[in-house]
Amino acid sequence: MPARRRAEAASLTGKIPVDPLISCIVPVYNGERFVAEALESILAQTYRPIEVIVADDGSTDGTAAVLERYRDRVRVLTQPTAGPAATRNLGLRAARGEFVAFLDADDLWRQEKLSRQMARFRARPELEVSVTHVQLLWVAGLRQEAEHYQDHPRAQPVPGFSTTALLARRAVFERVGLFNPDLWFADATEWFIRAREQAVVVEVLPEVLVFHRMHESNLTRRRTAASGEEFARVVKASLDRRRGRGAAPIT
Amino acid sequence: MINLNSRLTPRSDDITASIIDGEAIIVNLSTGVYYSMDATGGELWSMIEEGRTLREMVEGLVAKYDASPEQAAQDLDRVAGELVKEEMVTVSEAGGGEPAPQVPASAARSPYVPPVLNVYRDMGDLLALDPPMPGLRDIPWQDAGEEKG
Repeated sequence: MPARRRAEAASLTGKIPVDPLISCIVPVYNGERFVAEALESILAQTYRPIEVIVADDGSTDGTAAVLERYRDRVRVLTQPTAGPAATRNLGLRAARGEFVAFLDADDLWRQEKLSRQMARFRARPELEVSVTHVQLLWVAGLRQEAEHYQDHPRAQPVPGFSTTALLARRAVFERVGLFNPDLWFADATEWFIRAREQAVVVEVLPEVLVFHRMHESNLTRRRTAASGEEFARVVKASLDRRRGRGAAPIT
Repeated sequence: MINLNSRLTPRSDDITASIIDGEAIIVNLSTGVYYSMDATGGELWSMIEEGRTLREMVEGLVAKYDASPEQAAQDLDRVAGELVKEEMVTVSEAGGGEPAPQVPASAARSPYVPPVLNVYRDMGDLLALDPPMPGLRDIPWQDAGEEKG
């Protein structure tokens, strides 16, 4: 079938007729060490059109100077420090794309990440959220830790139910809501739980298209106990909703 | 072998546990399986975290709830076996020593509901990436070369 007729047929069936804009949101807090690599991995995407939005959560290091080098290709928003979820929401509110994706400033995408995911939205018009598999990537200075975990299940490719592996129709956030700004660690998990409770159509790509970097100052490493408690609260709130109890506030 | 002198220790590297509104919520960070123990079960998990022996936990339950020592011991043995099977706790012997004195029954004991370990395996995928890595340290290992640099 010729391309034009194919496009017309697609629009009649609700498929995606042209390449829609993807807003790529990069939340960052004191990310001078890795944010340039994150931005390069977005700009190297084979998919176009994209817009890149950096949401800076009041960084006090050299992040602003790094971002200055990208001023012609990246929109930068700043706010007083309010946490990762509030920073993702800042970027989300400014997004103009029909689709949105997020990349934490210390993580990396493979260059075909967005293309592969958008192909799935074309193949499945009912799809609302796509996530890829994710592989952990240790920095060179943590070789011993990488070796310690190499056979651990969490160090194998895992389904990427985190913002950094997600591509979603922006309209999904109107249905599910924004990220809960009271959460500092479990905001993405809590959002995916809400999405599941609302029967959002989610698909997991089997390929590893995202790398989550393990380094000396990962947020969860610095505050492991607080992070664990927050996940327990999120799980409890979900259980309470499903059991018909009044959910405990997850603040 | 679990007996009344056994002590259960939460595998804190592998799980995260919180007691919220009297309910213990425990998440296995390696598998994403999560657990709840409500009411009597929440009380039980608190006593495990306090490092009590099974005998002391039986006495604690009998003091607080309308349960016979035999029933509390039987329930505790069952739940302890489940906690071990789910790799949530390790078992050690408390060592010798006199048994703890019997706790006198209180007139205001609450109705006893046998503790139950509820197991949920529906969020393994959602909890596979973002929760803290099991055993991850606040102060990580550093290669010597990196420290010099």
